[in-house]
Amino acid sequence: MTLRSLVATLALLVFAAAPAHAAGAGSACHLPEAGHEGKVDIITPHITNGDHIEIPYWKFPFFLECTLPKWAPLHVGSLELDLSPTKHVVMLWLGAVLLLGGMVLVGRAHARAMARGAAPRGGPNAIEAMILYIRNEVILPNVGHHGEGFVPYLLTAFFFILTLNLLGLVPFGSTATGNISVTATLALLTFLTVEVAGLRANGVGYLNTMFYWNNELPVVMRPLMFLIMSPVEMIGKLTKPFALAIRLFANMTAGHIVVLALMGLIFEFAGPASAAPLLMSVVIMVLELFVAFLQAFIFTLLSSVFIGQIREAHH
Amino acid sequence: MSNPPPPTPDADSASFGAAAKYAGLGFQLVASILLFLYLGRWVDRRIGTEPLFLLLGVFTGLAAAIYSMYRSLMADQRREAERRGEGTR
Repeated sequence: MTLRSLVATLALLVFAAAPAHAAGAGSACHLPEAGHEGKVDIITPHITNGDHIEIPYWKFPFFLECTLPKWAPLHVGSLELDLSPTKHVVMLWLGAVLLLGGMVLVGRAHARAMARGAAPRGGPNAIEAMILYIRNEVILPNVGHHGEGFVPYLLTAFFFILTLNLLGLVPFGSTATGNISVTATLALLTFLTVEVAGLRANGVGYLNTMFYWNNELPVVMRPLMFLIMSPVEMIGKLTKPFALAIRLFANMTAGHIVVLALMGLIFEFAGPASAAPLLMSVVIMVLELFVAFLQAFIFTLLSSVFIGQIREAHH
Repeated sequence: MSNPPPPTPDADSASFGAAAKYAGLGFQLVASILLFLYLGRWVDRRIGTEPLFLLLGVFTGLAAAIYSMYRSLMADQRREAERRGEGTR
């Protein structure tokens, strides 16, 4: 199978399978209810999670509303877990599938080009340039000696966040990284990676990153400083991933609110004056495209810096 | 897969990383002050000395957070010096 046909199959799966599935599902998808009179909130439904997704449709208004299935909640002890898919969960799945398929294709193209003794061309070459930049300029200098083991996790985080950010900018898409639960989970993964890396690099010395015990102090001061400084050190451990989660969530949400508010202004002005918000929303949208890359980069950079910090904590 | 070239030290990306890691430090300051504030308030309510320990807690939290920041800054500076020492060797 050639690369071209593989790409075509993938594209067909993504873009054609959704409406085909919708037709098969029947009652789950329907045309949106027409004719809202008066003011309609266009911002909140776009930036929050929900149990509906929109899929492309060939007739006006060019999208169908699909209700996602509702699963019976799981009971773990007294805890009730509702694991039904939501709009952002669908985006997470779509992002994961796109990334997995895309990266397998890039890897194959790279291997084939290497077998020919040439550099890959086009898309695979661009992805390779990004991977090498992140690996050599961001991850390895910050993580420190023998940092190669952290490259797979950090690169996966980078491309996953980037894919999710970009999926929020395409029509019918939704930004899963604009959901605090998603960013908190990503930050939790970084937190666990950092702590395990610290434990492996420092051994017993890992306790020094959690507790404060200074033998240079007078004997009376040691337990006092221990009691005061240890909670602060632990808080410092927790605030780093907290800041990571908040930064990604706030940046993705804020940009979308600005774009949607400007789009609202286009209709509010309703005349030649609406050219101004139209122009501004285009400019902000381009900025959003940059922010999608920047925030994925920042997350990866800070994760590698935190891993490097804790690995060299014993120095 | 062929081996990519070894990483070259890049002054720009290193300083960017050094600056970016302090972006979350404000949260630590706030969280430390709040922790000792509520601890002080709890002690005050237990032994009825309002607002003595609450005020003490605010200043303890502030001092501890600043000292913790100072320590992490010093550690980073030492790391940076070591790295530079390795680079010139």
